[in-house]
Amino acid sequence: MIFWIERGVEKSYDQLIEDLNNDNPISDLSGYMYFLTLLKELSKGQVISSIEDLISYLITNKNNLSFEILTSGTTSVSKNIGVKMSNCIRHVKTNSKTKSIWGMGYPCGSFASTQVFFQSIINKETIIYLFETDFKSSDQIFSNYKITNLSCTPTFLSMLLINLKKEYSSVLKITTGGEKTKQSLIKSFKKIFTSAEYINIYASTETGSLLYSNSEYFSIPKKSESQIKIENNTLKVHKSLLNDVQKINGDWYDTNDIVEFLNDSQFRFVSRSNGYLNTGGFRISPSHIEDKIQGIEGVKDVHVYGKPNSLLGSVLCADVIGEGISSKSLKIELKKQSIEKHLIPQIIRIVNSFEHVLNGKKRIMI
Amino acid sequence: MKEKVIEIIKNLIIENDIEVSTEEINDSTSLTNDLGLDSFNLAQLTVEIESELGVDIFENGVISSVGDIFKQLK
Repeated sequence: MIFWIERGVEKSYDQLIEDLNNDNPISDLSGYMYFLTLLKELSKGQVISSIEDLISYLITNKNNLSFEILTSGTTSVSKNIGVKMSNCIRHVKTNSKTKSIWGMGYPCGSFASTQVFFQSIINKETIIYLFETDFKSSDQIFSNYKITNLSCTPTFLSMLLINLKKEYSSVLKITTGGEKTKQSLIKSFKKIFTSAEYINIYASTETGSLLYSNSEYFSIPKKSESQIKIENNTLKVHKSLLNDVQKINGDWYDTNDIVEFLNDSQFRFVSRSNGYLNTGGFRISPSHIEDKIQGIEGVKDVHVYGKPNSLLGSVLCADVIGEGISSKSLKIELKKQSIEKHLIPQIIRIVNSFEHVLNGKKRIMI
Repeated sequence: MKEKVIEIIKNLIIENDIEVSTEEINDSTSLTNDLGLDSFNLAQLTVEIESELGVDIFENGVISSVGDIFKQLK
């Protein structure tokens, strides 16, 4: 039975168990190695001789097991966040009569990717790791593997829709999360994924999945009203849902996610007030990027901000004051420093001055 | 208008150091397969076109080719 497919290479569940028991397993598949390492940490000291053993161990010990996610995969500032296994598999469904084939369009290391991973492995299903795949081979992948469940960011879905040339009725469910989605994207996917239903998930690394919807609007389910609330147009979560309760003072965790109401119960997310930008599902700290640009020769000052964008949620922009620099030279210099592509501002303007407010630079937070 | 769009695309390819020929860009040119643009490049293209021509080309759905952009600008 196939467990994982990455760049056309298949790994079976037997291979996974073998590698789990091997002290130094070697593979050049980054996604496979990431999750193998995670499973090794979780099952340390245990005798795991079959996939059934592994599943049983994970479920039985879900309240005691936890792992750390290094969020450098989706943010510009690396930090470890502890995740409870019980939170990670809170919404795992195990009663399906048919086996799903998952297309995973999240980077390994993101919280969403771990949720897809455990949903699949607990049901002994197959994951096709799409995130690092060249979009040009999208048609070949969807034709070959008959993906049934596609789970990705809205940006990743947009890129798939741009690249896919044929219809794929094998896809029955599309789940997106990690960034705001738009109604126009929800309308578009049916042209390619003709049989798919759509689920929009609101989740965060700190809490796991919280809200589900089939549009860009969410509402708080009755059963969750004691644990999720909106105060001053900001979503707040009770500490009982948090992975790490030490992070907050009091009973409620402020997600910093700002909502806009459609009516008394339905709302959508409009922005974050925690100093981060969300571009294409990546959470980015503008000040971190400003530091990188500031270090380039010729740069005197820089202002990084987000601009609303229908494809990425927000597009990363930088206004730069300096001499002997151009947008091209700055992008080349950032690439030379091995800065990841999502951290390089797409729009760089060379300006003579910034617009200022009383307390400093004008910062447009999206 | 078409000339302006093609100029924006060419400038974007040069600025981002994408190794692709820009000699023959026409309606059927695929933004991703032929020109090698990724999601970040497409986002930049959206902003540049909106800034110059006042239209968000991705607002109403998915854009795959240069011709799709022209349709959105009509």
